Amino acid sequence: MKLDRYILLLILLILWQVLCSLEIIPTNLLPSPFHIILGLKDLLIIGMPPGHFLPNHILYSLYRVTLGFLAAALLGIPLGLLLGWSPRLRRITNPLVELVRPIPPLAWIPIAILWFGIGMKSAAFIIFLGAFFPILLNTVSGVLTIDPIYFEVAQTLNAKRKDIFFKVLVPGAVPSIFVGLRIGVGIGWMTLVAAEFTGVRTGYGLGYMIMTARDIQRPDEILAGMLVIGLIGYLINGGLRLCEKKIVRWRN
Amino acid sequence: MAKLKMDKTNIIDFSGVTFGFPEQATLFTNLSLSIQKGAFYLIKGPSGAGKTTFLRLINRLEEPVSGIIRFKGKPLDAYPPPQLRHSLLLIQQTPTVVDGSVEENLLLPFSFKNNSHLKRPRQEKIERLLAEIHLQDVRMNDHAMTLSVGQIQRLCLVRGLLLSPEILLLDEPTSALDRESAFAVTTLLERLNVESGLTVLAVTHKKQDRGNVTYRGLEVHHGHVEECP
Repeated sequence: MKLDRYILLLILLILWQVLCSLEIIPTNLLPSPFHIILGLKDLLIIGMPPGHFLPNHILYSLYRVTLGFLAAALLGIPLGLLLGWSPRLRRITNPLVELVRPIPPLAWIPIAILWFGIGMKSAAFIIFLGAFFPILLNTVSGVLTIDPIYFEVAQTLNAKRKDIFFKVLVPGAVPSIFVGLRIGVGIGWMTLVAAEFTGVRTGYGLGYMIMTARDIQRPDEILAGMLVIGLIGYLINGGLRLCEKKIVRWRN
Repeated sequence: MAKLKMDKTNIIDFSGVTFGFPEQATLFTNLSLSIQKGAFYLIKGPSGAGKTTFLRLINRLEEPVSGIIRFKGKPLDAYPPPQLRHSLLLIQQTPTVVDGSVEENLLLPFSFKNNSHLKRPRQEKIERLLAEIHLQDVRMNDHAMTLSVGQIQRLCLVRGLLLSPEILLLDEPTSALDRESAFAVTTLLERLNVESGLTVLAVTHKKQDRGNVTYRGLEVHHGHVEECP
C-alpha cells in the first residue's frame, strides 16, 4: 500500500496537536486530535446521551441513509434510463426537474415534518431528496453520452428495441450511473446530520448525537461524531467504487 | 478450388431513387441500378460522395426521398426489418464491441429476440473463421475492449458472418488493418463469395490487386452510382 498519500494528513494532525498542546489553539473551541480520540472512546463506552452508544447511533443513521438512498436509486435509475431513452419524455419532465432540483434538501425539512411527522420517514425523505437528483441526472447523462453507433450496430444486428434498451443502453450507462450513486450517497450522507437535527426523536442517529453533545458543551464528542461521519462516508464511497470495478469490467 | 456457377439474377434493384439529408444538397438523384446475386462489388468514389449512404439505403438505415429499392423483386419496406437486416447485413466502418468477452461479443446477436430462431454457431466454426483472419491468438474469454482496433474490426466481421447473411455490406472493412491482415480478410471474403455465393458490396479505398474472383466496380460520384471496370 502506498502510504505517501497520507503524509499531508499526518503532518496536519501533528501540527494541530502541537498547537493545542502549546495552548495556541483554545481547546474548548477546537479540541486536540488526542482529545477527540478520548471523546470517541467516551462515545463508545459512556454514550451520548449516556447509555446511547456510538454503534447504535451509526446503525440508526445508516438505516435512514440506506432507506433514503435505496428509494432514490430505485426511482432515479429507471426514471433516468427512460428519460435518456425518450427525448419526448425528457422534454416534458425537464421544466419540473429543473424547478425542483435547485431546492436544497434542507429546505424540505419543515414540509417533510408536516407530511411525515418527526421520525424515520421524515429523515429518510430528506436523504432521498439529496440523493435522487444526482442519481437521476447522471443516469440521463450516461444514456445521452453513449455513442449512437452502438444503437445502430445493435439495430443492424437485428436487435429489438427491448434488446437495445437492456443490452446496449443499460450497460452503456452503468459507469455514469455509478458516478450518480457515489455523488448521491455522498449528498445523502451529508444531508443526514441536518435531517437528524430536526427530524428525529428516537434518541439515536449521528446528527442527533452531535446535537446532544453540543447541548452539553462537549466539542470533543462533536468532532468525534464528525470524524465518524467522514469515515463512514469514505468507506461507503470506497465500497461503491469496488462494486463499480466488478461491474464495469473493461476499466480494470 | 472450383468456382460455383454464378447466379446472374439481380438481387437488389434501385429504381429512380433520390436521396438527400434534410437541409443539405441532394446526394443521389434518380438512381437506377441493379446488384447481381453472388457478385463481389467494390464501391469507390471520393470522400463525401455517398458511399456509406448507398449501403445504408440498402440496409434501410436511411429511406429514399423518392423511388424504390427492391430486394429479390419486392420493395424493401415489404419485408419486416428484422428479416431484411438478417439477409442484408451491414458492418459499419467504426468497429464497435460491447463491454464483455470476445465470446460474448461474437454471440451477442444470438441473444437478441429477433435472432432466437437462429442456431448458435459451433465453436469450431468460430475458431476457423477467427484463424482465417489471423485472430487465432485471441482467446474467447479475452476482454473485447482490450483488443487493438484492427483486431476489433476483424472481430466485428466474424460477428456479422456468423449470422450467415445473403448480402454483406461492408464499409471500409480493412481500414484499420495492416497489409497482411487486410489480405487475410480479402481472402476470406473471396472464399465465401466463391464457395457460398455470398454477395459482397464493399466500400474501399484500397486497390484490389488479386484475381481469385471477378470483381465488379461501382463508382459513386456527383449524385450517381455507376458500374466501372
